[in-house]
Amino acid sequence: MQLHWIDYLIIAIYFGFVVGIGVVLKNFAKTSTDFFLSGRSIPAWITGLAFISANLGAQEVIGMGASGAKYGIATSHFYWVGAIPAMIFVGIFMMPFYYGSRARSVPEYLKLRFDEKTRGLNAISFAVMTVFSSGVSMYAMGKLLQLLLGWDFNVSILLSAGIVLVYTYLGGLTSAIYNEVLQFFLIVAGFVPLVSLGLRDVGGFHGLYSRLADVAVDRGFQSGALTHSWRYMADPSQNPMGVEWFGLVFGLGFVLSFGYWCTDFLVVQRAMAADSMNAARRTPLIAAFPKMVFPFLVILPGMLAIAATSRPAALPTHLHCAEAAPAAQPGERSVAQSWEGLVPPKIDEATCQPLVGTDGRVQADYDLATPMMLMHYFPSGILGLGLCALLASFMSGMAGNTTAFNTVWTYDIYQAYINRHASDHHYLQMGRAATVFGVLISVGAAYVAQAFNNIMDLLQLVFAFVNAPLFATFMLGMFWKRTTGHGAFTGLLAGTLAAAAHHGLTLPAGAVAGVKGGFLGSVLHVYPSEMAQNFWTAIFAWSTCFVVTLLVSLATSPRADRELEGLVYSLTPRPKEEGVPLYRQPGPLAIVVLLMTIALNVIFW
Amino acid sequence: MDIRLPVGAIFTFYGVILAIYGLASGDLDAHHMIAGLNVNIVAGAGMLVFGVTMLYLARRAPRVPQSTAEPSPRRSGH
Repeated sequence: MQLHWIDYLIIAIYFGFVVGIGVVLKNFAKTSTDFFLSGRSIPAWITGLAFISANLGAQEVIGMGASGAKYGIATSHFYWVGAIPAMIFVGIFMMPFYYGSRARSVPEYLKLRFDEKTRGLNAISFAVMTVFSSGVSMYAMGKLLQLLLGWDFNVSILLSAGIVLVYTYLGGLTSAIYNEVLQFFLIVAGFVPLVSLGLRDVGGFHGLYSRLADVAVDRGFQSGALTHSWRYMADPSQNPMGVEWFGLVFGLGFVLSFGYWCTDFLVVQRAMAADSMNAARRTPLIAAFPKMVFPFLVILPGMLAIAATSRPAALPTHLHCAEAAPAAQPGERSVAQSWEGLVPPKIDEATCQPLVGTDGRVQADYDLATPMMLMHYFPSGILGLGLCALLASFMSGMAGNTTAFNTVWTYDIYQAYINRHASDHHYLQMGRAATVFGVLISVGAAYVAQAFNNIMDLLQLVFAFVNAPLFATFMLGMFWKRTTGHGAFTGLLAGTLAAAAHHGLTLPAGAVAGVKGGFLGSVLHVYPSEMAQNFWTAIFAWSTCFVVTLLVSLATSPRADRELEGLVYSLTPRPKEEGVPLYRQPGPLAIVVLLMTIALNVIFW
Repeated sequence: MDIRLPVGAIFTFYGVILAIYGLASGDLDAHHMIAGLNVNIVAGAGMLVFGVTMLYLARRAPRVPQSTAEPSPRRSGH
């Protein structure tokens, strides 16, 4: 793909603005509270947009497009089941504790509610996880830009990491949040025209649906499998995701989604920066509106990619050799014939032939769905804007990780274990230093991921085990005052072990034992898909953590009620919303969000 | 700083650049057209409108440090 001067100009302007925002906000970060929590002074609509933007990393933009191409409209479950309900819950029920307790981070809430060891466990695992995931997404971004534009991997990584570093270093959380708002609008501005062009080309929704019916049948499903989100969820073999509704609703909609949205400091930090309790509670609810319509911006491009009938003029470089090659065997499809719409097949770089899966079908490179859409439909000019949208999503995700990391490092690791009684200025300096070494470790992780891809797969697997049980601990801690620190700690460990054990004893269909599961020697159950296996791993982890926390709590001595005021539901006064107009109250807002989400599920049933 | 200021500025900038580029490029490829116009022109116009609106809102807002971005009723005397 060839970029013109105008595209570079647009990207350069974007870089200039994000750095400029950091420079302007430099003088605002005077105390550690300014730097880590924006002095708790940001209005709700800004924290709301930052909340959603920090979550919207490049992996989501690319990954959701890929899932749209793979699973069709059912991908919306990650939004309308796997996000909105949890976002409502965190706003209505959990924010009173997070914001009201004046905890400065999620691990610090655990310290207030439970004890030091529970906080330590959560803080350390979160800090490690954050820098490494940021490295993994940096690696993915660098690789993609190399593939599409021929940009040098080192330059992409160092430039984008450097820019994020500059603006988070200078302005702290405020700068990250302001940039996230800018990035949010740019992502929308980049993707709305893409979807419009794509839809126009396939003949609107009507044309899209009839094309996807053919694709579904071609893949061996019923014709509606890619255009209905719920209709085929009764039987995993009937839907492309290979999951059944119970695993979906309980595993994704409850355990994984509540675990992420209600406990991950990356998003909660944005709400904590809000200027009032009311604003903090409305943050995730305001964020829910864009989240609700994101499927039309990030999933639809994937669906449009497989429905497209035309081909892009320019190809990613790795396809150059393959495109001209004839089929390996007479009767087989050549590379040029094995595209699915705009989605090219995966290529074996040694032989230049398409890779064939265990089912004998050519594997499509779905991660290229959204990038190929950009290449195909965007002329130069707006192409620069589309790339800005990609870069913006990457940077907002990375800045989210960086600001969450420097806060947890400074408050929950450094101040808690290394240097307890330093001046506020010292912690502010430590936060700046943590921003630098956090980014450096992430860059290092990106290079590790480049050299040893499977180490990163392994790490992410371990992170998944650690995360899976979290929500059981928070739920019991917030709503059952009898829960004890020993209970929480042992519950978390037991839940993590249960996740590992479940994963080690099961396999998705067609996989070999290893990082995909089954590494404990025997395979007790084979799931229809990797996704089903993940959902059930989460369900097992959550249930184990829940039961163990409950039992250990009953066996250990509880804390006095007065120590738990403001930390537990039954001992916290309900936030009052007197004199606040109805449309600015969290309750009514939540009801509107919920009704709209239900409507979307029904419309795309 | 009011966040609507930089957002408004960059969108206004982009809007103007894209619209001019779209008009000047004379690109009439069917894949690049929305409503009979090159996508650069349409998207540029949309971004320009959004950018100018943001700038207007930022200008109109009362100047209270660090809460300037909350849309609030105009103060008396303005």
